[in-house]
This record gives sequence, structure tokens and C-alpha cells, in this order.
Amino acid sequence: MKQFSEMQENIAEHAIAETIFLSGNAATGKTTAALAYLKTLRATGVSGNSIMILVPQRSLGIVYQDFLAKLGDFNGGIVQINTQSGLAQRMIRLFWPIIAYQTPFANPRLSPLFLNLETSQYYLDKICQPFFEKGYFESVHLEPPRILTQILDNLNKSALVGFPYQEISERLKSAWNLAPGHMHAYDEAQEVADEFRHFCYQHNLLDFSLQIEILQKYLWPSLLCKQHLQNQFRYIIYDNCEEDTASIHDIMLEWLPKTSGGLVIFDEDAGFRTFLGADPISAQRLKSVCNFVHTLSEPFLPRENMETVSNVLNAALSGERINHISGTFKHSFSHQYDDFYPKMIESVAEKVNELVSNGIKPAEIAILAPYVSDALRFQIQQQLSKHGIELAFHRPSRSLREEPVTHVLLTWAKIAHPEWGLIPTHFDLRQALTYTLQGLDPIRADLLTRVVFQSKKEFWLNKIFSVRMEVQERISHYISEKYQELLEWLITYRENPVDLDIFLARFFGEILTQPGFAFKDNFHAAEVTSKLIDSIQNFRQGWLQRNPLQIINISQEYITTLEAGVIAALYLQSWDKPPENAVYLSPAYTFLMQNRTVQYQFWIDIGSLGWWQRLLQPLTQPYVLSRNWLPGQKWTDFNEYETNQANLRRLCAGLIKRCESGLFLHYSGYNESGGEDRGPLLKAVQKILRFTFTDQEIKDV
Amino acid sequence: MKHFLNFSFSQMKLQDYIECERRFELKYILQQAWPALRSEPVILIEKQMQLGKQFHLLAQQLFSGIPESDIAQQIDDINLLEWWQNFLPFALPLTKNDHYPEYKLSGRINNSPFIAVFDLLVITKENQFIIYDWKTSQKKQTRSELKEKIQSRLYPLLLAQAGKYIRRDAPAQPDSIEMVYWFTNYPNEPETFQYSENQYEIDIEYFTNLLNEISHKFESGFEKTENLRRCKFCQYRSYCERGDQAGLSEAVNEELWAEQIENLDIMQIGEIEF
Ligand code: SF4
Repeated sequence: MKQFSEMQENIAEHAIAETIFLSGNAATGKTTAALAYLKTLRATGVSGNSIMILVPQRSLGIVYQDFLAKLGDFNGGIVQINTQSGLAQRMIRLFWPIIAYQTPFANPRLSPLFLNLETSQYYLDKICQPFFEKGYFESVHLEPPRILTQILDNLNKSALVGFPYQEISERLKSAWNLAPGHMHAYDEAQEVADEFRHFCYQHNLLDFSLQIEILQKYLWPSLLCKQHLQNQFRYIIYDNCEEDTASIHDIMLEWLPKTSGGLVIFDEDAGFRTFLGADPISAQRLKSVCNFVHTLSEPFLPRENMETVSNVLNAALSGERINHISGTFKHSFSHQYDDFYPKMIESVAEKVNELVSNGIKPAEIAILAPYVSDALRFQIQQQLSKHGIELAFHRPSRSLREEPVTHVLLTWAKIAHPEWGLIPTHFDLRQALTYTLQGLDPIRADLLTRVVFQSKKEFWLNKIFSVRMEVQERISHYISEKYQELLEWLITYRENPVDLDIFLARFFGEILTQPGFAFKDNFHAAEVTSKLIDSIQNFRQGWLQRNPLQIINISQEYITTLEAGVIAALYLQSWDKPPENAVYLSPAYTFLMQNRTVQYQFWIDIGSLGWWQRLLQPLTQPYVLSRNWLPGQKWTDFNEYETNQANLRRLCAGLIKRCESGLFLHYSGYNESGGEDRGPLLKAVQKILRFTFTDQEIKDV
Repeated sequence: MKHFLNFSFSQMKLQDYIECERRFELKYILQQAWPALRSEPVILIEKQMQLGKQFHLLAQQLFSGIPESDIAQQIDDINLLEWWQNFLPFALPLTKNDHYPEYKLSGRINNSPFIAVFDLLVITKENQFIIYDWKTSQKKQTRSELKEKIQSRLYPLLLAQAGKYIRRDAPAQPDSIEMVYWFTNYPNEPETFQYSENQYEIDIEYFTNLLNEISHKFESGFEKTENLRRCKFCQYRSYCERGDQAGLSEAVNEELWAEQIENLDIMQIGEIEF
């Protein structure tokens, strides 16, 4: 069981009967104090059922989940870990009958249908089509899926910040400071958002923004709902409140004074999720309703050198003079330049290997980049595997479209349903055969495709036995037989076709995982198939309940929409802790949201502007659509520059606080796509190097 | 029991273990996704599960203080309406007692953590603790089948253990606990099982032995079931090389729904990330 400091134990004791606002930098032991609080509550006999842990996003709850699992039972109850959206969904489901009649939904009698990101994008895309045809959004030069996400983002911001969705465009326009021609794009986005909202009202569809709005406007004000929550949860731990939104802070402002005890944790110098509505200024309001305010300032573990690294880097980024740097600085701060990107990756892997050879556990090493592409992941994996080191990586979500297994499954689905008219290509079939028939290499798969694919016929596959014997021999008799088995299964299936997800589940169990077929014992394929089936099932079940677009064939609709890139079939990757024996690769911001510390961090490609610049979002603006923006004020280049600078400083400080022993900075003359980058992070590092290292040490920089 | 760190037992997990050790291992220990069909006909089963889920929500709403007339307005399925009408005369009198819908419970047996979610817990004025479980399957299980279910043994046991946290002044004793199954399709034939001190002792021993047995399986291996019929209704059929097609189920397996409830409640954290 974890050891706690006297200070943490004291805080825990106090929070039994008081509410405490606990602030401090990262790694000062705030979350550990919350764990001490849980331990104390348990020792005091409080049932887990009366405790709620609120976190801004799922990853931040893992540390609690692990701790609770180790405790086992909690005085007969189960502690609930919630996010704002989780809370909203639970409450809407339960209390819909009493609030539905107050809402603008056309049919309050009907239960609501929750939309996830995929289904929201799907319906929004349908709403958008006539607007696209009229030439809307031509001026912003964006792919449709990015237009859709920004429109949804605007609606979400209106709910999370708490302003009417009808005001989105006015707010954005009033802050716009560049060419006036762009303003009509905001109006277009508003028009589509209005139309989408109207559509949701007509059909009882609840996208994320509506879920939040209903929680704020109807559920929380309802006495029954409020009492339900307040009576159930007498103790609250609210961690990383600075990463949460103003609307949930509003609720907590009322709720906290009604609890028996609680701990609100505020991470200073954070608020990394601004683009998702995080509002650290609003979170500060919670201080006023807590009985005590306490600040932790000492790092939980001694890390003097890293403090120096943080201060020096902060000074360099702020354009301040760098004064004296202690002699041990270089032990915790090293850099490496390589001419080319692949060479940089090689150097990273070599350094990692050096650390591991010196006894550092791989899990104590994180490699961080502004973005992690598949190509980057692949290259790092390759280089580390040369040293026998495993890599774990995390991206918050992953698209099933990118998985070859998905492509294979959908090819078979198209072949099994020729009536859909979705003819696969020669390449599709060759790939499907290679992935399906065990032992079939791409060359023989190509041959097989040439002899059995008949795209002009009513059914696109031919029997293998009608093919010349020598060809069958080249393919091998065993594989020919397996092909024939597959074909016969498809022909029998044709007599009684079913919905796509059911087809895939049957095909998976009855063919793909049978002896001689390649999904047998292929756990990755099973995983992807499972996620794909879930995604389709979610679509179909929603369609069965509500079919506002009068879609006749949902299976066909799913495939065409997925292939058009409108829905990404994104699935959230599990937020489990990375394995102990692997080095961890992740985007820098994602790492921050995991609330974990490692001994060594590698920041790669530090010349990239990605460390500094925010994503280009011409239809939305997270800083303007916030409570902290004065309506009417203009967003200038200066604001943009200052915000990027402040974000970079905060990002660097946040990362270094999560690093115990040393920082390795890597950069190359040419980036991943062959360009030359000299972003502000690199410039700041160069400044430090000129001050600390000899010319010999910084050659080529 | 070092193997069970980070792992809570539930009635569903143990029921799976009893039916097939290998399934228990694949599903809960290895957490191996295997998306083959469990049983056919899928759409019919899905529809019944959907109705079961809706019914449980309606019941939870009723016991959460939502007026029955507001709840009834949402019902747009004739079967569900019939269940609801069957339910009200049974349920309404229960609201006069202390009642806790979807009550979550945790406990320990032989130092291993356990969890349970009761559809409803009622505490009468006479300090009787009654666990209610709504069954929406078409076929009613016999009394002896119900008695043998892990659920019938585990729920009262956990309540007896956790009772002191629910009513500090008058904690639940085994003799004051009852488990009631109520059937939407057989509204007048609820099955009641009175718990007792004696049964509590027997059950503690039973679960302790079961846990020890499971613990040993980590060394000796989790065996596939010998009852091949079970494989017909198991998604790992092809993995275990126990056939290809899913069995035709005459009645919807109530366990599927129970599993969904457990997953929903125990996963705990909100589903949608913005
Ligand atoms: S297929 Fe049969 S042996 Fe395999 S896990 Fe399922 S029930 Fe057990």
C-alpha cells in the first residue's frame, strides 16, 4: 500500500468533515493526498457508494481506479468515478421523464437517443450536404470531416461555456480581426449548426452539446435530480478541476457546500485542455466555496536539477536573461542534433538503449512529440526493436478505417451483398484473400484473384474447381479447398442475408477463425473486428430506434459513409497504464493528461512548429468561445503570438514537472517531410546551449 | 490470492467459471475479444435484451421517485406496457419502505474482492432486508434452478457482510435477508428465498473453496468444459475449435443482460469523451 507524507495524512483527516481546495504544481503530491483521503474515508467506515471522484477526462481517473482496485472493497460500496459527460448521460437516462416536457424536443414522450462523435458527424454530414452543394465553406478550403468537427466543436463550446448556441457566429465575428471576407464562413457554420440543432430537437437526438445543455439547464435545477446526486454522494474528490469546463464548475459551486467533506485539486500552471473547453480561471472560483485553501509547494520527490532545467527553459522561452546555471545542469539536460530525421530516430533509440542498459526500467522513459504519426511510431518501433526494447504508444483515438483488417472485412461484406452494387477492385480482393487464407502469399493471391474474380457477372466470385488444374496446383490444393469452402459459405449465406454487423460476426466465427483461415489465433484481427462490429451495431441500433433520414439499407449506408471518410469509426483506446517493460511514445499533450511521472523524457523534433502553434481551425476559436473573452474584443496577431508562447511555456513546464531525472532533446536539419523547421522551442534551446555548452558541444546547432 | 489483484469477482464471472473454466480465463483474465455470435436468432435476442434493459430503467425510475404516470408515457411497446402493468401492483407497495434501486455492493470473501448490483434493495420497518431481482426472460427458471444460481448465494452473502454499513444501528443479519426474483412474464409467481445463518456459513465455505480452486488453476490450467452444448452458446467456439455455428436459443439468456448491467456499472467512468 502507498506511503503518505504527514502533510498528506493531515489533509486527508481534515477533508473528512471539511472541503479543502488543494492547489500546487504538478508532482507536489496532490493526487497522492487524494488517495490518502480515500484511505482515510475507508478507515472511517464511509461506504464507497457515498463517494464520487470527478475528473475531466477518463485518463485522469486511472490512478484512482488502480488504487481502489488494490483496496478491494470499500465498506460495502463502490466508489464512482465520473466525468461531466458520464454524469450527464446517467442523469438524462434516469430523469428524462420529468424534464423532457420542459425541453424543446418535439416528442418528449420518446426516450432520447444518445449520439456519439461518429453518429453526430454522420447526421451533421447529411444536414450539410445541401449546403455544400450551394457552395458553403468553399472559402475555408477544408476537407468536409474537419468542417463537421469544427461545427460540432462550436456547439459543444456553447454548452460548456454556457452561452446560447445561436450566438456562436456573432461571438466569432466580433473577435475577427483579419480580412472581412472570412466572416461569412462563420455565418455559414452558424446556419448549419442551427439546422443540426433543429434536426436533433425534431428527432430526440442528443449530441454531446445537448447532453451538457440538458444537465445544466434542466437536470441540475430539478430538485429531484439535485437531491438524488447530493444525497448519494456525500464526499467528493474533484481532481484536475483546472482541466474542466466552466459549466461543471457552476454545478460544483452549488454542490460542494452541501457535501460532508471533499477535496478539490487544482494544478497550477496547467489548463492544457483549453481547446476542449478547460477553464482554469473559472476553476479558481471553487476556492470560495471550500472551507480551507491549502497549497503544496514542495515537490513530493526531490528533483533539484529538474527545477533548474525548468527555470532555465522558461527564462529562454520568455526572452529573459539566463543567469548562472549550476554545474550539474548538464546531467539533466542533453541535446543531440542529426542532419536527417531517420538518423534522429536512430539516435533516440541508441540513447534509450544506453539508459536501459544502465538499469533504467523502460516504463520510466517517455518519448514525446507534438504529433505521433503512424510513420513515426513505426520508425521508433523498428529502431528500438533492434535493441530488443519494446514500445508502447498511445493516441487518444484511432480510426478503424486505417486498419487493413477493416478493409478486408468490408471487401467480403461487399462480395456477399452484390445487390449493394459496391464492386471491390482487383486489389481489394487480392488483399482480402491474402489476409483470409492462411499461408497465401500476395503473388499467389494475385493469381487466385485473376482466375476467380468476375466483376461483370452477377456474383463476383467463381468456383476454383472450374479453374485449370495446374493453376490450382500453383495456388496449392489446400488453399484452393479453403477458398472453395469460403465461396460455398458465401453462396449459402446469400440465401438469407442479414445486417452487416451480424454478417461479420457470423463470418468471423464460421469462416475466418476456422482451421486454415488466417484470423485463427490472430488476436489483433479479433480486436479490430470486435470494434468494427460494435461501431456498426451502434449505428444499426440507433437506426432501428429512430430513422429520421428514412435510410433503407443501414449496412450499405455505413460502408459508404465510412469509406467517404465522413465517419472515422474512431474508437477510444483503452486508457490502461502502459506495460512496465515498454518505453512509452505519445503526443506531448496526451502524456500530460495521464498524470504520471517518468524518470527520463525524450522530446523529439523540437524544431517543429507543432510544439508552439495551435491547430488551424478557421470555423472555431477556443479562446474567443470562452467565458474569459470579452465580447467585442478583437483577437489580434499579438494575442495569437502571446497565447502560443504562453502555451509552449506551460507545456514545457508541465512536462518537466513530470520528469524526475533527465531531459533529452533531439532535432534534425530536415523534418519528417523533408522541410526545415526552426520553431520557438528550438530557438530557446539554442539560446540555452550558447550559454551552457562549449562551441564544440553545440556544433551544427 | 495474488492472482486476483486488480480483479473483482461478480456473480457473472463465477457463473461463467462454473460453466467453463476456459471461458472464464479467456473472458476475464486474458480479456480476449472474440466477436463471434453467441446464439441465434440475433435480432430477436437483441430486441428482448433491449426490452429487458428498458424495463430495468423504468423500474429504477419508479424507485427513484419519478411519478408512475410520467414513466408510463414513455412506453411505446406493447410487451413492455404489459410488463409495466404487471409490475405496478407488485412494486408500488414496496416504495413505502426504505428502498434503494440499482444498489451497488462490494465485499470480500477469502480476501478476494467481490461486487454486486441489486436491482432493488428494500429495508422494511421490521428491519427485513430484501433483495429484488427482475427477470424478463420468457421462460421461467424452476425454483431449484434459481436456488442453485451463484446469484442466489452471493447476493445475500455480500449483503450480510456489508449490512453494517447500510444500517449502522441495526445491521443486516443473515436471518433477516431475503432474495426475491420477480418475473415480468409470470407476475404472480415470484420466487422468494429466505437466507439464514446456516446458509451463510455454507456459502462462505463454498465460495472460499471455489476461490481456492480458481487460484490453483493459474498453475494447473483452465480446462475447457466437457459439456459441448455450452460451446454452442459461447463466443469462443471457434477459438476452442468446438464448432462453427452458434446455437439456436429457445429463450433469451438472461445472463447476457446481467453481464451488460455489470459492465456498465463497474466500468464507472463516463463513456463519451469530448
Ligand atoms: S467454446 Fe466451450 S470450451 Fe471454449 S470457452 Fe466456450 S464453453 Fe468453454
